[in-house]
Amino acid sequence: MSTNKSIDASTFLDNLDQVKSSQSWLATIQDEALSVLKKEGFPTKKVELWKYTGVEPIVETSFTQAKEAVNVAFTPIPDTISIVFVDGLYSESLSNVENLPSGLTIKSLSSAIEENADSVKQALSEAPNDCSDAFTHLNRAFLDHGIFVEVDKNTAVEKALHIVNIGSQENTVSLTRNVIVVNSGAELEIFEDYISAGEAKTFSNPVTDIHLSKNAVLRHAKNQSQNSESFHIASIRVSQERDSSYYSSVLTCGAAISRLNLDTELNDENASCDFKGLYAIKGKQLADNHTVMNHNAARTFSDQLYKGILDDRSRGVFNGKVFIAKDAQKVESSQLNKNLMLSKNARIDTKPELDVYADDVKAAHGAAIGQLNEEELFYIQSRCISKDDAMAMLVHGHMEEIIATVKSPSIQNYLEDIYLELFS
Amino acid sequence: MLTIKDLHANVGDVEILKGINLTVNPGEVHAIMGPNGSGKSTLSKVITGHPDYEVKSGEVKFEVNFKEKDLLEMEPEDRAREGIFLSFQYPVEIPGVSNTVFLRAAFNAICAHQGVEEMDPMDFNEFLKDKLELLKMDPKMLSRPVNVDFSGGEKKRNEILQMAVLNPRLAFLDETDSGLDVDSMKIVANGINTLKNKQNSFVLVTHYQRLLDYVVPDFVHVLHNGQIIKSGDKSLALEVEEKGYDWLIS
Repeated sequence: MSTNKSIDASTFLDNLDQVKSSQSWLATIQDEALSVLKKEGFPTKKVELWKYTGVEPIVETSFTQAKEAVNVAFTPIPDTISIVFVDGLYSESLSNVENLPSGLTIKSLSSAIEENADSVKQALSEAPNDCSDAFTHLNRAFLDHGIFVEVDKNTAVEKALHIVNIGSQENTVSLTRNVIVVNSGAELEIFEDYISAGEAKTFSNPVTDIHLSKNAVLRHAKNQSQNSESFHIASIRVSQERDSSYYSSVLTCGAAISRLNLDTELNDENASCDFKGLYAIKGKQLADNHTVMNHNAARTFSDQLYKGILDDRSRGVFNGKVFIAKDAQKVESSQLNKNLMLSKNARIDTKPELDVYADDVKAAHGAAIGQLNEEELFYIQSRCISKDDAMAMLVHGHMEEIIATVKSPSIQNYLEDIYLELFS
Repeated sequence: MLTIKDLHANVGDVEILKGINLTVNPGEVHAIMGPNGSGKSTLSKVITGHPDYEVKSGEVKFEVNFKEKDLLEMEPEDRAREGIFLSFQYPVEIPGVSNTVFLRAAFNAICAHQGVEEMDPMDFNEFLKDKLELLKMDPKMLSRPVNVDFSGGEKKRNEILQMAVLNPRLAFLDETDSGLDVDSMKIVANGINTLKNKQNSFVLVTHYQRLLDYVVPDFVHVLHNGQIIKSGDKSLALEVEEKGYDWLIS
């Protein structure tokens, strides 16, 4: 039943096939998620966390799961390990997970589940909460395809993992689930990538669970450049132990409606996270970024810079919440959201939130919204460069600042090819 | 080369330049001095085409290939392509754009304007290396974003580097000496003196005569209240240094 806070999910769910896990603990979780979703539905804009993002166009479309991973064109990024999903289904032919370096395990989520690994169980076992999280329930209820990655203690993996989902078949939904475990002292770089092959309207609804043990380092880039008919609602949940570092670079330029919930739990001293983000949108696109940094322990550190470039009638949403727990002293956190408006009709809703329960902390936050700066334009023009090129240069500069935070040069090049031509 | 006649210019409703007359010939070095608020910076910004300034009357002609062009009709980038350069008092930071990328884009814009082929990137890097040496700059500066987190002195040197790369016919140096220590000033002055020849001209806009010890002007002008109230040779700068401006302002 739809109410002013929820949209009835039964029609949407009727189109989907549930593959029940053979593991009873997981089957129970799937059932639970499905029944919560049936009871509580999808959120409307009356739900605070979805205030600016209406999901009706998504949940009123009849999406089904793809039957097979069709063949699409895919060019691997040099110096990366490709893990390819097409419409949410693992494509063995496009992936390249042969000859992995020692200390790195990559397997399908289903085989990891069968082996009943504790780390998988832990990641998949949390209890469902409220309907603001309807899309993670959806992922959980229909959980089937996904990847499990584990790096052994003190192993630094040199090559980055390119985990890509290619949307290709009309009205298909992909519900991939990734579990990434980086053990103590280990280092890994992953690149989650959501793209389209052609013009088909697709919906990707991935969830990625990450656990960083003591002193582990993960560099995590994410790109979403699906076609402008498609939809994307993603969640990334990170839990961090002592001395671990999580570096995130999130880039968005695709989809009609997209949303990322990126949450990290800084659970022990000297755990740190660094969130960098870019949304570069135009037309009638909507890009929504919700981030949460939970400082659950003393001496934990976070830094955040999200930049927006908005043209035409596009809409951006940024909501960054920093939570500092009671007695989590000596925490340092800084957060900045900067937006460059290229059109009078574009709109940004930005909301930095500080929720502090400790008294000896340093926390700074801010937001800025503006147009291209006249002094900057004149400076560049005075160096022989035309006004149009000067504008393009400044826009590129804004994007490069975020692209440059991705570690792998070949992934940087891949992102430059996608982003630098957007507004020309 | 440059002829300014009875130039009046405003910012908003406020008249800043109140009838400037100035002629600069090839090979000359001019110094424009004057107290704060006299219109020194405005003059160089009007000549280079800053959009905040509105020219009310007067003319600014620039000779290109023996033909006089009306500078005031031209876009800032077109003035620059004809060889007019401004070293900014406060150089602007451009995050995300590396110095090399910026310099190459500027240089290529001139190549395109002159109808000559762009320089091969490898050759361009060699070309840059010489210019860096001239200004004793660390090659690492090239990969850093333009002026971002540069010290005051580094920014000024970076301006002169751009000038060395663009090789302008007429350069306005707006307070290039302010914020420089003596050693940096010597390096910057040496850069200017090396680039100086019989075909190009410099206009040094300055508060102090410090820089003029190293880059010797042929003419010195004192600007006050939007007008040139006195012109002379380099001795005028020394006189101003000694006596201040009061004796000139009646």
